[in-house]
Amino acid sequence: MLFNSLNYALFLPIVFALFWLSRDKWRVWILLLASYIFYMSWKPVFILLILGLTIANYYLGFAIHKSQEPGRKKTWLTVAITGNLLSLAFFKYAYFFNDCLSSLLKATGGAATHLPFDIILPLGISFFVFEFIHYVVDVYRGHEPIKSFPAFALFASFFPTQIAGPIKRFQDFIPQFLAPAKLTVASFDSGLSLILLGLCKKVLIADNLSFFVQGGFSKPELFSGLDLWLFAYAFAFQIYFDFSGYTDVARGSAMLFGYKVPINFNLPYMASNISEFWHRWHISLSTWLRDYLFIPLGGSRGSKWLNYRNLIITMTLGGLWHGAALHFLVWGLFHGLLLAAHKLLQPLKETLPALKKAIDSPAGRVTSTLLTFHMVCIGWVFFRAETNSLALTMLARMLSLSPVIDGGKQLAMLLPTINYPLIYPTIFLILPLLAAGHIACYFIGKAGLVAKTPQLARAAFVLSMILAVVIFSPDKSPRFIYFQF
Amino acid sequence: MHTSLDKPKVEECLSRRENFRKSYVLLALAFYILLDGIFRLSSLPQFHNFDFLKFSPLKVPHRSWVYWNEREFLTSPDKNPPDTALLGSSLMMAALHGGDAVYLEQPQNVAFHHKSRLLADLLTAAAGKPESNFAFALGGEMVSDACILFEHMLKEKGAPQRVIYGIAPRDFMDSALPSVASTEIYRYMSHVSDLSDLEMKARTSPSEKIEYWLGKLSFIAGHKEDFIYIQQRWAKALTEKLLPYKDLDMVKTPLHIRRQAFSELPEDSGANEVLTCPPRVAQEAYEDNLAEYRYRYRKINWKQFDDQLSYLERLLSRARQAGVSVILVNMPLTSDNLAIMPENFYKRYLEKVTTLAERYQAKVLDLNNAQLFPRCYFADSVHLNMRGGKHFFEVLADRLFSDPQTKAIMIKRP
Repeated sequence: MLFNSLNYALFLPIVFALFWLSRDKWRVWILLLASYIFYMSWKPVFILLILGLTIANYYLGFAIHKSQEPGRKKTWLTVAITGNLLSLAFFKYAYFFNDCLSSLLKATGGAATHLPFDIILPLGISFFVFEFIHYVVDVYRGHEPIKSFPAFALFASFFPTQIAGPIKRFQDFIPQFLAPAKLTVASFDSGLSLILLGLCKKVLIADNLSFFVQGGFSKPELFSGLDLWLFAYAFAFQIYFDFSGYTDVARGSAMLFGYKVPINFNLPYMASNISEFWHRWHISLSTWLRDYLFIPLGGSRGSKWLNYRNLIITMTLGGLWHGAALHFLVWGLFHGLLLAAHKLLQPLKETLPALKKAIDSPAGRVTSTLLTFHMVCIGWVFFRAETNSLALTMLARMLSLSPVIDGGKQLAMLLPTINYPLIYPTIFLILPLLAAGHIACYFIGKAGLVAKTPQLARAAFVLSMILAVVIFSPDKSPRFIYFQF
Repeated sequence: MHTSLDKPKVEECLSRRENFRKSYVLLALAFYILLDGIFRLSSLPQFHNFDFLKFSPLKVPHRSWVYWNEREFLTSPDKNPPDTALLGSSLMMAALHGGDAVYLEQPQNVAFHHKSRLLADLLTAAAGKPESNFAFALGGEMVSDACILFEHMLKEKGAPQRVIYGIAPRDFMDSALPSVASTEIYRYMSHVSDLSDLEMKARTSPSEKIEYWLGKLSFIAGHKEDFIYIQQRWAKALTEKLLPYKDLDMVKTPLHIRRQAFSELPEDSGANEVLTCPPRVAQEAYEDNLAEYRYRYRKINWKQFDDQLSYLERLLSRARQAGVSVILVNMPLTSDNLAIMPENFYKRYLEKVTTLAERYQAKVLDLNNAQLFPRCYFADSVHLNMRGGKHFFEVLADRLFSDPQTKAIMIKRP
């Protein structure tokens, strides 16, 4: 069930009504049942997976907690982490591992291997597996396990965050379940506003940009370097609006039940360095990677080279978490290298006061923000391109913007000659508007203007979002497409 | 244990109600309802003061084949109905464009070519009086679509003398069809004319029905296509003003982007996009499309067949009421295509259509004859190629005047 579907538009109000009309003691059960129905609406059989992992992790949590001997505690933890990772590896990475093995065998003169069965990737597995790992590790570190089974089951399956996060922490979430829920005007208003905002981000911006981006990334050889930068910028905004829009709907839906889930995005393209970017982009994942991968690897302890190594390993694995393909791995590695380089150069700033002054000045801040954004865009090329070789084709052109290289071919643009679909000509207005909007939101947030906005202005803003969602949401009715063959 | 419903407190309820009065989301919803009501009122003819809300069937965001068709039909200076209305699916459409391309030895722009010059000339010569025609033949046209187009024509320009409707088994049963309301023709025509007596019957899935009722309930939701058109018009105007673009209605785009756009908006087609050019080779290419038709015939759906048959009955009944003669032409198909049809399907189709035609005094002309239309006249297993299109209209004109019953229809004066 997609958030921007008619089914969800019917499902959410029904669950909302049932939740608030029932007694407190039934509410967790209602949400749990709703969450399982939500999950089963895609492929009912996968309920067995989420249920199986829930039961296993629930009891493993107790086993870890009750074990007196450190060795036994560690064994139970290893069993839990291995079990979770194996289920993720089987469903998400089996094809990837098989492809890697096949390539290796082919390179050494052997034959390709084939999996004897088809595997369908269960929705949300990357997210709930990470939540389970966080749970067992934190119990191992001394936190009390969750006693209530329905609360534990709901923690992992809570439908607003089930498919794409944010990745929750049980210490923040479970107390909210156990306390009596209260519907307040603030949470009702914020919840519905966030849902509308998320839908607008998705329907108005991300879906249209996706159409544009596909045109460039599918045939980069047709376009010049300058064109390809525009496609990269467009993808940067597409992925941001898509993912943050999803998170907004998730957070808004949770708020309607009186629960708060963590924010995931905080104007990431306003970051002035790559480290700040990861404090603003997919925050729940970056903090998870820090706590359950980077720190266990040694974190910032030890020599600076070990620190860089840990950063690179963490980000490379983080890249692979996004998708089972080599280009995601390269994207992660690229970010790991950027973070390591940032850490490496950081002392330079401290030792050279003139450099520090220049970087901290308003002009320095603007320059470093622009530089960070462009480095992130280069990373997005690896993320979005279907293969690394396509990404390299694009990047070779994007980085050859000079009148002396290639006879200045990469400076000539094809995009202004394309006038269909309408997103192509309008992209020259849309991208500057999105950038301006991003900057405006930064300053509005900094000045605290949202809290000072009068009720009427807020209502007008919500009205505009309602209109946009009603008008621009695509029809969900089935269509007879005669020429589809 | 405390529960919110165990001890309801009157004060708490009142204060909660008071708080919800401060809700800006509820205020926005109230504004939406108000705005929706204002739009609904403004759209009534007696309050029709805003250019902004003067919706038109020719102001739509996507220009589909049915749009180009209706555009020419509605904006034509000729206020009289054509003598002959041609109905049919892509089988008739291919013959129309290909036939004229060969006959006139000129490329035919599919967006603007809706009258068969070849047929007009053949009928004029045979009848000894000027004959006009207009084709409502569109790719994928089901019988239900043909019925809606015919009724709209009656309403807009009155009754033609006759309807020549090229039919084939697929027009009655297509496994790829989710519902009557799912075709682009239906969707467009529901925007153009009043189909309220069909709306619920035409929709089968709950999501279609819910969307329909939401559209009825809210004026804005029901007119979203009109608002999207307004948004596109503004976006185009702004782009043309601020950037060096001219005439954004003419499609200029690389092929791979056009293909991608087609997969997203299959119904959208620019004015300059599809031309049928006269053949340059002696033998036109033949494309095997049997896999497509295996899919279309894969599951026999008699319910859909009977439903579509009821639309044919409706068309025949309306035609009789309006004094319009109907000639049903069983379109030529290849033997390969007939061979992949489910058992008894073709036989039952022909029997049912013939019985119905007899009941309403319509005439059936069976041109599905391999001797008349050998394979060299086909572009694939169902569509005639360009020479086949010319041959089709020549055979049709000949048959119309050689059969006494159809000849009577053809020479009948209004």
